[in-house]
Amino acid sequence: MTKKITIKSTQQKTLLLEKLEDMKIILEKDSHLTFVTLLKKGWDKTKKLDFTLKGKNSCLNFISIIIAKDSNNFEFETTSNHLAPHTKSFYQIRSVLYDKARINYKGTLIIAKKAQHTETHLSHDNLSFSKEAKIQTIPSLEIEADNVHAGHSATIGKIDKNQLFYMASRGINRKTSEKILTESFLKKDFDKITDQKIKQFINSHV
Amino acid sequence: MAVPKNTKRLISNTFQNYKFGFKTTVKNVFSEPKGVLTPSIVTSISKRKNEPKWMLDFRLKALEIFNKKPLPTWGGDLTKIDFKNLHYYIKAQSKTQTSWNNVNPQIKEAFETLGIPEAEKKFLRGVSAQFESEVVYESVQEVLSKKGVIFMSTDEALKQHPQLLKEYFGKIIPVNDNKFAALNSAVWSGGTFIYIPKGVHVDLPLQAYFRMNAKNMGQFERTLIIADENSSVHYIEGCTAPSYSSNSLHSAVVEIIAKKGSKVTYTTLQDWAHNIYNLVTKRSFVYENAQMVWVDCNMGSKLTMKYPAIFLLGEHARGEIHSLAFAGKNQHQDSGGKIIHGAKNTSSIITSKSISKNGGRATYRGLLQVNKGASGVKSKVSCDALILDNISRSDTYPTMKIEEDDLELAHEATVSKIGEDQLFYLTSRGISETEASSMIVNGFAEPVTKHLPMEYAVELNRLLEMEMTGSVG
Repeated sequence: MTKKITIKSTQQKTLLLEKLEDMKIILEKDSHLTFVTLLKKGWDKTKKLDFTLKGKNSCLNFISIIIAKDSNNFEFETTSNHLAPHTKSFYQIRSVLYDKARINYKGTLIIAKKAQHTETHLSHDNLSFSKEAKIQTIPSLEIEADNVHAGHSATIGKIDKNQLFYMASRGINRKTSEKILTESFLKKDFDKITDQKIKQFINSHV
Repeated sequence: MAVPKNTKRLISNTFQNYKFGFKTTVKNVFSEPKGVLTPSIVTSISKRKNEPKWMLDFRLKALEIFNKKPLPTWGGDLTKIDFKNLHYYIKAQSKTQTSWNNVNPQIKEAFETLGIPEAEKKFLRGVSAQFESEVVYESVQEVLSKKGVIFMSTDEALKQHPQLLKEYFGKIIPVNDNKFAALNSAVWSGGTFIYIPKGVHVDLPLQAYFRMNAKNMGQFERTLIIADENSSVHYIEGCTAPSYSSNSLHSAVVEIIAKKGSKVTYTTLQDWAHNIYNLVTKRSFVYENAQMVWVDCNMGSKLTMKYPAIFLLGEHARGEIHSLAFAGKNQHQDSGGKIIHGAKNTSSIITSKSISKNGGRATYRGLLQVNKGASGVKSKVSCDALILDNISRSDTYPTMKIEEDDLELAHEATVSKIGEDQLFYLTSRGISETEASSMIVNGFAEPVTKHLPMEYAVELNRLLEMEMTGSVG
């Protein structure tokens, strides 16, 4: 079942999800949605999230933290349809992988001809701690308007040796420094969450 | 933005008539009748070329696979290709000529319009031109032959060096790879064969020029480059065709082997007429410490689907793909690159720049794969797109498949139009808006054009400049 949500005109909303489900979300004029997900448990079937920026000036902030352990499987797709001018969407997905975890992500940004002055960016950063883990990421862009700023980026890597060395030289053992570095990696975008309650919750759960 | 009327006229005079749109009347020595591709056509092509039996078997097997495979459903619109209405083989001249003077004057005229003899005058080492299906003119300077470099048409190579062909032909791109590779394998004709012996460096680029002349023609050239240990070579191909009202098909296969410590650079300047389907499979195997560079510039054709691939199979191998696409009216450039890291400490770079204008569609489609066990991989992928008006379209479909943790990988993509602040800055320095925007576009393309030999880079920049004039308003 696909869940349908409409963010009404001029509404400001923050949503927090710990489990993904198929969703269709429509953003009306001047609305603002912060969509936060904290994912620790995997699932089998591909989950689809569909955002439609239907009204002028609507804005989506998508922040996702994935902590993938054991042989959990995270397979999901996000799509943002920019239909109106001056719409914005920003995606920031950060994932940490351990053991035999798998992440399979497809993020599509579609900008319709009418949606001039759209600003959109998608980035997917991955930190991998295991040789057994698998990552697949497909960030796509489909653009028909000309006056837009659109982009995406993806990085995949393990913890920087120089950073670990620096920490070690300050007398911090490897385990603690890995923990600190991972935490700071995941928490980088929390400033963007305006809802204090959700911010506290997610802070304490990472 | 206002563009002076005479400038506009100049541009339309230059570009509405496709620059290479002249036709040449050449009496074809032999041409296979149009029609459905049958085993008898394939056998007849093979017989006419006096090919060994293994090649005929290879062709027939490929035909079987071609008929079985469905058309790809992704990418551009391929449904309009009429496979039943193509000439699969046309021979324009009875023999390959070794001297320019013996070449058929009408063919010569066609090439002269294209400036081929000028290239010769410039003492570029070797020029080989493919006019329709056979290489009609080849000249390799003696120096190269003395070094043991083999540079000839693939047909010729099959006769003179059958052992090399048997060892490498169809090994990198197997016949069942995709529908169009199978089609090429069944009816291939011409193309270039290059063998560089151990430790030999060819310091001036080797060149070949492809041109399609008859309408409803399929050109299926087959290129094979083998760079032996510690050698290096730069190969350049250019393509054009006259404009006919019916669509033609170009489907080439290019296979490259870069052995230990060698370096191969392959540059393509594609400027086919705007009714040509350009469906090309290009792949290279790169071994220990070797380096492979694809420079791919796509300006012409109706639809291009081309993704040069690099398989990094030995430690410390390195791959680079630099691609530039310009999609104008009714054009779809679906290009990109694939890199597969199959060994430790390999590194790669993909730079893709695309420009779409006048309703053109530019697509980047790429793959970056790191196999298990390939630790210490470093890779950077960046694809940027410029959209110049609101009827054009730009897509980016990059795929990354990673099965390793010890690696550094970065990918970025941007889509934008020419920045207003950039334009403002340049105009405030007294540069006209037209000039400023073409400067910006040239600067945008520079990361790719800098890999081209100087005279090509200059020509491409000028071409971009002319395409650009009067585009932003």
